[in-house]
Amino acid sequence: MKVTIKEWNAVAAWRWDMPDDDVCGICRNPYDSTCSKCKFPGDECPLLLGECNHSFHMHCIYSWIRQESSQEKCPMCRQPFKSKSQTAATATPTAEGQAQEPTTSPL
Amino acid sequence: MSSPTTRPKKRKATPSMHANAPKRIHVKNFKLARKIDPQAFLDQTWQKINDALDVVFHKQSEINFSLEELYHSVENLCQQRLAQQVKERLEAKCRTYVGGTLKERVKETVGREDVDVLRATIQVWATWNHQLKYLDWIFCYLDRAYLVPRRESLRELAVDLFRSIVFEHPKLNSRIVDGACHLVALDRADEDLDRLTLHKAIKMFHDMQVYTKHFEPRLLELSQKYIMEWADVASADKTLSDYVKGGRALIKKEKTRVEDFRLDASTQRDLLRLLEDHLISRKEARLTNQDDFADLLEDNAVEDLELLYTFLERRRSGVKLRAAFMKWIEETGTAIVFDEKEQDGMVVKLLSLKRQLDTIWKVAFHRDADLGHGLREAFETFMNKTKKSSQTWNTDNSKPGEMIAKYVDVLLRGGAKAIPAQLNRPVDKPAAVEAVEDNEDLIFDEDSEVNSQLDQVLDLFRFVHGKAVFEAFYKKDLARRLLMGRSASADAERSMLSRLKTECGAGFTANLEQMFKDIELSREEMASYKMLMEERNEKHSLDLTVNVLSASAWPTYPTVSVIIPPQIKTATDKFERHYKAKHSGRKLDWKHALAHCQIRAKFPRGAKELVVSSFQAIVLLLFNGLNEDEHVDYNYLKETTGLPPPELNRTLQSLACAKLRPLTKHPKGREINPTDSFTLNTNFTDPKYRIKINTVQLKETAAENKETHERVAADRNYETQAAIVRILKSRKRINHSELVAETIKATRSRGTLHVPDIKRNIDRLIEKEFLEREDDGAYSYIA
Ligand SMILES: [Zn+2]
Ligand SMILES: [Zn+2]
Ligand SMILES: [Zn+2]
Repeated sequence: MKVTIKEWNAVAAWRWDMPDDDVCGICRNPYDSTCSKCKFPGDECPLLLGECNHSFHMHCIYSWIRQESSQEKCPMCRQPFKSKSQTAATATPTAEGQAQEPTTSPL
Repeated sequence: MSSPTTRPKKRKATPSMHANAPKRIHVKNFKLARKIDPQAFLDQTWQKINDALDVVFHKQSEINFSLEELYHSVENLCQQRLAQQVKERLEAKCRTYVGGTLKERVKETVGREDVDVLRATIQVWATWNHQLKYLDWIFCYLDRAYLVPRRESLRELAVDLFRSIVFEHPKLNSRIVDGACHLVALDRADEDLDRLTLHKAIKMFHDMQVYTKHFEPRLLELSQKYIMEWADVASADKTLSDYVKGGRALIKKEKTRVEDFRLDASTQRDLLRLLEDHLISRKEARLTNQDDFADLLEDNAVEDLELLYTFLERRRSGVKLRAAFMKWIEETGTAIVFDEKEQDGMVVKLLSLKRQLDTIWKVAFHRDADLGHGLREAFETFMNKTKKSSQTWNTDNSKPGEMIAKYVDVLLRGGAKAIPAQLNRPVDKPAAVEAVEDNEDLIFDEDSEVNSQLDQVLDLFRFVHGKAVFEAFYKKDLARRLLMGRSASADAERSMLSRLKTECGAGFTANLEQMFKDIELSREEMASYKMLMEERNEKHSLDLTVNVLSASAWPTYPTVSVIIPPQIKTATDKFERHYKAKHSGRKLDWKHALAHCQIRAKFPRGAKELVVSSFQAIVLLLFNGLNEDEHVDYNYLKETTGLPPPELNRTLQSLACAKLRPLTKHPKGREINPTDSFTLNTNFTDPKYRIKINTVQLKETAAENKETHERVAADRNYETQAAIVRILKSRKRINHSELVAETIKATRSRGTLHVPDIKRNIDRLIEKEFLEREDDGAYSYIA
């Protein structure tokens, strides 16, 4: 008896590489879930990691920074918020551009 | 009696006299009249007339007078202002004659049947009418110059005399009328009818102007009695169908008789009213009797149902079938839905039932709007009945929701050949039915077949209030089709998706769309990955394909622990590194239970390519290089694969106990035991080279089914609690029954809620201190 595998059809589910029970410091939703405006986790509602090592849904941190009172500081540690550009969850500029405005309407 | 010989040549001569005589003779006679004494002239002339009348009435001899002469005599008398006396003498003469000879001839028959009295009357009436012609000629001048200007007439006078003396005679009147009615009764009893006599009788009643006053009321009175008796006997003795057919025949027969004998329109109208009153309105309970009606539905007796409906519709009572119609549908449907032994056939049975009822509604009930509503209402009722049973793991879930989802899965996997034969246009349809059904059915190709099936299934699905159960199962089945590549047609999938958007809303289909999108993205991802591998000259013997899912859009899958063989692990690890590099911040959870593969296996009787589940492949790999008689025992398999026993058992069963078995179990048997051992099946062979043996992966396990049902029920509890909180937030204070009603209303679209479950959820919220129960039993919200 000789058995050879010709073709393997695997299935995997992706998630954000974060501790399981962690939530976004702004909307309090799990990272694997979406910000409060989006419906689908994934490319359309990515995460953004700051140089301070705090992560948020990209939509959440953007609307936070747009408020004047935030003074563009991280809401967790009050350091000026800068994204770790290369390691940020948004890998390509197109994805970032797409992601700035949620494509799905707010609930 | 008046023999033809008595009215010869003379009669021929007379008619011309009518037209010409008066003008010509007028002046000449005026002079003559002056000379004679009027009374003597009257007596003398009347004697002549009287003699002539005796000849006419009694036929004592041949007509021996000149009608023309007599006509002139009457004319002269009238011109002598003797018209009144002539009229009186004529009337007296006729009265004596009619009251004597004519009446006596009828009275002679009094001892016999009514019909004999009628026949005698008809004869005497004919005689009298014949004799009237002579009177007409003789007294023509009297009639025109004296009677008509006074709004009288000779004819009227003669008819009045006959009517009052003969017809209205107390001993004769009812006998004559009943004689005619008796003839009708004979016809009703299907006995020989003397049609001529009845014709003559009706004509006589009309001529004598007694039809409306004497005949019609009596006929209707007797008809009512007859119809009532018929209805009572027939409704007790006959089946519903036979009663309807008999009733329709009776109405037809009565109508035909009315037309044949020219009965008055009023008679026809009243008779019809009697028929409808007694046959339909008063027998409504009989006609809409639940049991008999149910028998017709049971037999799918479309034609009999049509007769019944149109019969009731004569009185606009077709709608009275609604209660019985709904009851039958509800009972029949409930029996199908709760038939625990035949759950798999549920949807096909429901579709047949719906189809049957639609045809009945269209053909038999003429698309009656009320009955149509009843049909839909009844379907809605039984489709939403829930019962906590083993079929739904003691939840309140809608079993039809689950079975409809599964039926759609069968269609989308199998295409047109999966459509059960009994739903594939029956050929034994009655012609009447065929004509009414939509023409679209005539187009025959696979896609439209499947589409028309999907339409019918969705028609059924629309009755289900709670979509949650359907959605859960539909999603699981779609996932399986996508991951195993088991969809028959991408078009059919798309068309189903757009239908579901309408039925379940975009919230549900957005998830499904994401699932399609994940598969599409994965295909692209794999293409570029393989290209990259080629560029790097890193081609592997193992052809790896990965579907990467966005977990939240897919059903939740439990992670099953398994030890992945190194060659596969190497390949997947490599892909994972590539993926993470491309999508930073992400990681992958491998769902090995969902993987499948193709393997090449050399059996003693030939090499085969097998499509197997990942677990089947992992087990089979352990037989690599073994001799035909080398046993592998259960515990070794358990340790080496790392599979939990339920999974391992299922996998071994599928390899060694199913129809196609690459392995042989020792000892033989259907159940896997820890003491079993396995060898290669040396006899394994199949006509095909490529064989799918991973159906085990496509089948839902009982545990999976239970998990889905329980999750839907748990979600419903969560939604119920959320709804209760929302209601209390807006109302602040609400009493128990109002809260229950509002909650049912708010959650209706997700599934049926039972009051005890609502109560349980209220209690749970009280425990969690979202609300409190006050002393008067009302609830208030705790902010
Ligand atoms: Zn957030
Ligand atoms: Zn978002
Ligand atoms: Zn920070």
